[in-house]
Amino acid sequence: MSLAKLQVYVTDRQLDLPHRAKDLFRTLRAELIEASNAKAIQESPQDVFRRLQLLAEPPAQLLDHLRANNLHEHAFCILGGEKNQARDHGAHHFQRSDDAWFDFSIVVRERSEHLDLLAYDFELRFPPGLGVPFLRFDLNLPHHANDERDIRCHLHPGSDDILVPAPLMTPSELLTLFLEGAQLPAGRAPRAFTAFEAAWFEQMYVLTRR
Amino acid sequence: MTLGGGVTRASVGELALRLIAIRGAAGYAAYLVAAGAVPDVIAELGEELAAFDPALAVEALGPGSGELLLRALARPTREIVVVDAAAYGDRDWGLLDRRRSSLARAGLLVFVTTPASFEALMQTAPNLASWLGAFVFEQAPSAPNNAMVREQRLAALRTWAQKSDQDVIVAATQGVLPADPAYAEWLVLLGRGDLLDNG
Amino acid sequence: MQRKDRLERYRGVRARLDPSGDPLAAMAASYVEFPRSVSSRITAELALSPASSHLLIGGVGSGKTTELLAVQTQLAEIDEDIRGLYLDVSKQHDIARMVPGAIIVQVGLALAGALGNDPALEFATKQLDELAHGYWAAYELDEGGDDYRVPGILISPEQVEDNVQRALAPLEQLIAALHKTHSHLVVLLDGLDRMTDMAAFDQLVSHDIKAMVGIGIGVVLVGPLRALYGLDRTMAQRFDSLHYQPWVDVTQNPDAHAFLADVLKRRVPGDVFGEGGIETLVAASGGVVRDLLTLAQSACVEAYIDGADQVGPAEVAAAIDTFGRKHLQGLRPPELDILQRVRTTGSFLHTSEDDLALLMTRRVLEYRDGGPVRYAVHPTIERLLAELGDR
Repeated sequence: MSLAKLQVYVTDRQLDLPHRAKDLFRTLRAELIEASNAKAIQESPQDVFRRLQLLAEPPAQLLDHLRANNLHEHAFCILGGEKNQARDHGAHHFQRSDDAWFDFSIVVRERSEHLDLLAYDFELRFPPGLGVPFLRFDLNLPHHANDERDIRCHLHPGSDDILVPAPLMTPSELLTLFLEGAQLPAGRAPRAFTAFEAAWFEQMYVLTRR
Repeated sequence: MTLGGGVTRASVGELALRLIAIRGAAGYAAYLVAAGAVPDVIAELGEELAAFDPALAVEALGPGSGELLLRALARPTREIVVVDAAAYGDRDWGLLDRRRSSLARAGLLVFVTTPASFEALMQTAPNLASWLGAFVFEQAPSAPNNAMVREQRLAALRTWAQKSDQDVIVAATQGVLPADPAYAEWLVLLGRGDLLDNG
Repeated sequence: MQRKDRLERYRGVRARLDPSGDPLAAMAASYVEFPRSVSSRITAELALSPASSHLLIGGVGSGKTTELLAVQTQLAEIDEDIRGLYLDVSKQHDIARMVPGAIIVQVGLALAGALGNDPALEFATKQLDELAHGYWAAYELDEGGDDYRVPGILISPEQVEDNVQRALAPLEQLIAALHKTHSHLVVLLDGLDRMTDMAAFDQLVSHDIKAMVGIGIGVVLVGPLRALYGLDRTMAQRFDSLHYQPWVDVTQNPDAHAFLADVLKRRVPGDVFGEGGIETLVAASGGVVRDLLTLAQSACVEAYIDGADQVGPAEVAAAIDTFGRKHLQGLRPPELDILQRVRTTGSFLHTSEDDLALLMTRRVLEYRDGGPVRYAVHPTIERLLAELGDR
């Protein structure tokens, strides 16, 4: 049975986005600075300015042939932290007060009256003891192939290989989730592992040592 | 004459952050920009401030002289007043210096002007200069390191995917590029946003 | 700092450091009396001689307004029979266009406001208002109509005196009304320190101040710094006393250093500045109170931006650098040479207009702490000047 209808359901949202990439960028920056002010993240306002970047497509003179054919589409990347596929803690990122840390990238395209959210990748990594090593929310590019289409918007729950459908969210919602959600309530210790989890992690240790 | 390397540089966004940090009491600042860029910078500053607080009341004034500015400030104004002072010379700054008490207000007053006009202020308005204190900045590019960041990102993508930029463009053109968000970013950084819909 | 929103905390600190805000509010919260304070001396002299005249001079940012307000407060405490009235004469009027009589009119209007809406004073108040803002009189061509006098272009010395007397008459009526509650009025006049035309200043002194003192009003007037130097210094002789509000020599005088440190400590909680921060700021201020406060403010903003819980050496250094870079702008080449001379030899020429301009704009600071007069460049530009000098 296909999950196509489910994917339609989770992605069929009218997103409330600003009209310009610059405005989305500024909104995310303001949210991060507010988190810095409240010490929800460990980075300073200065760090936020440095680690959050808005990159437009390269300058017009390189794309004259595209402009001439009206193919220049005003796409932008909004990048939070350094590109970090290896999950190296030394790369620039944002770190919460509970030491969970994250980075993200967003691709949008400006149309005349609205902003298209084309792709995103938000990954939150946890310190040991919180159950999963990371959560990554991906929005893939639109794809024509059925198998790719059915999982365009998904969550990786601590595994690059396993993914499950996830609701389409705005970058602000994802950032809010990372800043305020996906964490232990204040004052509460992590639950004790079940025997199953303990055995699982033990097996993982054995497997990674081979 | 620009001495000592000029005044400290800050982007419009960084200026806005500093203004947000000094809200809540009287304050004065000056921002130096290239002649001709003042109206655009004032508009951008308004947007940057609104991003920090949509409820923040900002008023842009463009009175052509110091005398007109004093008249404009005599009526109720908003919390942050941003003044296009690019045309102000010795006479205007001298008047504002003498009538400095009339500039006093509860909120923030930001003069956006040119370096040449600011030199005139420093020569003829020592009291006003003293009120500005250390809140004088010159416009820095908003994204000075974009080229470097772009290249760093591209290098990281090439390493991760073990592909070249050309490989990605060819795959996208043929409609066989994987749908991962990383490839979307890759295309934009290469200036091939036109290929984003080719999946 | 306690766990509260960092931005709100730093905003609160910065507001308490605001040197441009309401001086009355700042006084109420955090006034620190300067050793051998000018205000104490002026108050003491006025208590003995309420109709005396005093010229208060000091550099930009030296705290003259604060001292004037302190006199107003202290007068009320020393002798409830003396009414002090503070007035910034530059607030409603361009001091570059002040003519004899203008100060008297402003004093009269301020006094009328202070006395409240007494119907008996309505006519006097109206006269002052018309003198201040002008009025229209009907011009009738018909026989028997009122004449409308068009003032001439030439103003004779006698007419200047007439203007002064016209302003004085309603003021005398207001003084008479004041005498129901107070025996003496002392006016504390702020704002004229920004006058650059010394001849015009002299006119105001020889007409308005003289006339007010003549009818028994005590006057404390903040005057231009230029009045201390060259030919202009004879102007001080028109007053009963000259009071100098100095910049404070923080490098040579431990009491001065402690005073400025206290100015900061009174305004902010003890954990705002890290070790050595206050000392560095005091030294960088050059003894100019306003500069101390603005440097401290700027350091707080830098600390907020840096994510620091306390203002540390990096933030203080950034504030000093930003201030110094600004302070160095607008200099002409001859002025740069003078600054290098003052920096390297301490030599300053009272007779040089270029030297004096640097004193007026606070690039050069003068210290008169009882010992020999000392000159130095503002500390925030010292390093930058040294770097320029090395090239």
